[in-house]
Amino acid sequence: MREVSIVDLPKGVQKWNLVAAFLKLRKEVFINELDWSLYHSDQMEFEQYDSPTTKYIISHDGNYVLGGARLLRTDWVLSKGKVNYTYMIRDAYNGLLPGISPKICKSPPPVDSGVWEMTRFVSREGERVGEEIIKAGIDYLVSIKAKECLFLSSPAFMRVGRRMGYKAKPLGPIIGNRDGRFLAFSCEL
Amino acid sequence: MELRQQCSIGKGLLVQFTKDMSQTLEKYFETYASKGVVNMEANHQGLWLINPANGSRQFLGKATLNGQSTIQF
Repeated sequence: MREVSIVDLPKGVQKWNLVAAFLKLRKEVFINELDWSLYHSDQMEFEQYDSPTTKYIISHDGNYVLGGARLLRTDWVLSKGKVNYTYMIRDAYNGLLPGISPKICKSPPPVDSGVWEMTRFVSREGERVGEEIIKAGIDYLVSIKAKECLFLSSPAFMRVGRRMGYKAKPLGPIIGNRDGRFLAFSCEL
Repeated sequence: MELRQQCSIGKGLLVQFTKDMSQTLEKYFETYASKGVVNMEANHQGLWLINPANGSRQFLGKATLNGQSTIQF
């Protein structure tokens, strides 16, 4: 039976196989099918925003993963080191993400414990699974009293959100690179 | 002999941590440990924790600013 799970560490360690399958699905879709120039290893696509603190929204039927997305809280700093990664939209705005223009946002993206970012959305079973992932993610954020969710995705994804009844507003213009057209937008929860 | 020179002649590898990276490692040590050992991987993007159950990697951090690998030969 299909269900959507929110998986994080350490309490979600028993379900971490779902995250590994989600990373493999990302590799299949983003690299094999869409030809995005992303790093991968062992058939998994992962990057600095996949850290021990990241939460994942995963649609699955048993151990078979149909889709998912990634959640980051905007006030988290990811393991710092001397490179202070935060979250994709903010790092792009600050010029830390090659390939995504700093013009992605018109004003500085927020740093707020009530604001989250959802990225790396992928689904292999069409729009219905996609909507279930979005809804599960939003429901989870509402349950923890978050107030806003930011998205970095294709313009079509924002239209899906609006069709589902969420009040989505763009944070900047649609930008393009070799991988396609992208948009940062926000939904109040 | 400088550590970098030692590395270049095969006496070992230099892996760089900042304090907060080591704190993150300590926080999640038991989650990633197998028989008391945590495996990590280094590449040009930084240091990665390797999940012993499925081989997935999670980002631990990047100690250097210069774009070089955190692991030096």
